[in-house]
Amino acid sequence: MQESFDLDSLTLNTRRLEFEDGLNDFQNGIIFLLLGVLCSLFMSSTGIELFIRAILFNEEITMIALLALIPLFYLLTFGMRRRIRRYRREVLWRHLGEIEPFKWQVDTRFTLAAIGVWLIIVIVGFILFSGGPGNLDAGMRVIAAAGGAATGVIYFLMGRSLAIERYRWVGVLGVGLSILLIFIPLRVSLSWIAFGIIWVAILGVSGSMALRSTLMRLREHTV
Amino acid sequence: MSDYSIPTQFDRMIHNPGRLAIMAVLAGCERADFTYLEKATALNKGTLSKHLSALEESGYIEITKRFKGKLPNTSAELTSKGRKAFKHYRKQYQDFLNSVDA
Repeated sequence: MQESFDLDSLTLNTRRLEFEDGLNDFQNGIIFLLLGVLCSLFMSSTGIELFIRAILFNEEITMIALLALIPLFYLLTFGMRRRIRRYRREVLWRHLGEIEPFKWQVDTRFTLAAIGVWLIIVIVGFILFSGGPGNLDAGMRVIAAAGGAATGVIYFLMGRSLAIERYRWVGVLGVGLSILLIFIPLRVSLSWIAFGIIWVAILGVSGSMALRSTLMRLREHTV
Repeated sequence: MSDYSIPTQFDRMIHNPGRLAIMAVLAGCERADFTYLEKATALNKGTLSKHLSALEESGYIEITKRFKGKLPNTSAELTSKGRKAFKHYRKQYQDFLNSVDA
């Protein structure tokens, strides 16, 4: 037994174990990309037209296909989680032992802060961009940008509370790029795709860096 | 002023360093297996096993034994009683430290 130990460190090290290998970043990046694609589809004129036609003309197959996208999204997320758990058990955590992380690691205060940021950006954005009829896209773009910024806030706060330096950068970058999105003249559907690309890129880089150092440590441990 | 009566009220089940380390690790996750607890707390197998049994008897943790493939796997998780007790212990400890500092 160690001569002395820090209680907080024991709890904190266990809590952040699931973020150390970067696999969560890949998973979340893919989820955000899929979410962006889904929102883009449901907010594009083609998507809305398909949906309206399915309701008006009783096109059950189109309707089922559209609605099936939502459970498919959940199935994919669940499948990814299972694969990650298995990879950790068999490779990354083989010598370390296994933990089952908390189902929800985000503190309620962080969620509330993110909702606050989302609301502020949406309200300010609508006030700024509701000037003319041509600004509908800009007004709607604010929703995607606010979603991105709120996600960034959560990452930043998690980085601070769990002492994960890279999440602070992920948060800052996410907020910055998402706000920038407001000023890029994209159509609503494309702005959701951009939301997905921003997050899959940031989390992809962050995850790759984390996974690389984890694999290097693992190799040293094995040698 | 320092309140030296506080340490006498500490929960003795948790106050033991080994059990305290186990509780601190389990407070950071839903459940952890024996190997992880052994590595994280740096306790040897026998001592860890003894402490886990004591914590289970007091109702602070729940131990699950199952097979993963062909290998037996023992894992432990804090019960709600255990989580409350640990939270209370930490508060008492902090109060004591604050009273010493004052």
